[in-house]
Amino acid sequence: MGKAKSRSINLCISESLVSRFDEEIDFLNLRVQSFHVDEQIIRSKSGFLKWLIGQYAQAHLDGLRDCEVIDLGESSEVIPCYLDRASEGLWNVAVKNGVAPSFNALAESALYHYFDRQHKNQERLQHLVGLYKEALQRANPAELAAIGEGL
Amino acid sequence: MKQYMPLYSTDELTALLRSWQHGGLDGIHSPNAVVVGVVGCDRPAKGFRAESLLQRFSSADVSSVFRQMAAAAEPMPTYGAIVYANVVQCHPLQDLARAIGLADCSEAQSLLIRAEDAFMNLLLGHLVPKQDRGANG
Repeated sequence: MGKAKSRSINLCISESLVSRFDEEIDFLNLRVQSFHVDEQIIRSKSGFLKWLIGQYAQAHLDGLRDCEVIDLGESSEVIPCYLDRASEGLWNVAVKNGVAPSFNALAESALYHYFDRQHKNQERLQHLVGLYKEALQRANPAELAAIGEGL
Repeated sequence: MKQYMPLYSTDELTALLRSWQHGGLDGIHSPNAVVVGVVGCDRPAKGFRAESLLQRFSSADVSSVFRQMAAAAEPMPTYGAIVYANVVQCHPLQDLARAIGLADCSEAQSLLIRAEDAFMNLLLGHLVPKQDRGANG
């Protein structure tokens, strides 16, 4: 198999999302080490952006989410992204299917929803960890296993 | 004499805790159980250094360590809760880092390692005084 060709494109994304994205890169320590997510290894900022846009586009195409175009109405900043053929194909399908009007809007919505999801996860897990701690005082495996089932 | 502190692997600890969660840890530790064939010895006092954590500890041991850790008065989730959330419930480290309010994932990684070591220290310390196990304490 030949090497998949990549090309670099510039995505224009609102400043507030770009700065949050940079904070996220620092938080994940992605400048120093790779991390695993969904059985994939993310090694770079561009790879991470590509992964989360792909997740977002796929979730819409699979009908798991309703389309919602985010318009933050702010000035934008450029993020370079190395796009391989598979990702570009997916993004094109997403745009054609109305997930977002353009690659930029797709990236913006994907980032917006990623942060929104992380925020909800954080609240949920904070609650769960508190419940684990409480239940570990009794250390009953069955009780612990039941935690989170209704959440 | 300083307490013998063997190395353990994260995989072994993971297997121990998941077996504890699923109730699959006892049997080998039930009062009259005899270990045959695994290490060729039915007396834990001799030649048991190569045993896996699964063979060495019972559900009661693991529960006791979790109880001790959970009782520790810390403002943050205790080491026990961190180990449990990551190892047994498989919450990714980055999610835990966010939930606990850590600065970044490398901090979470160090915290998890400290938590696992604290867990193992308590677990191994817990084993030694048990006379019925015949440990070399």
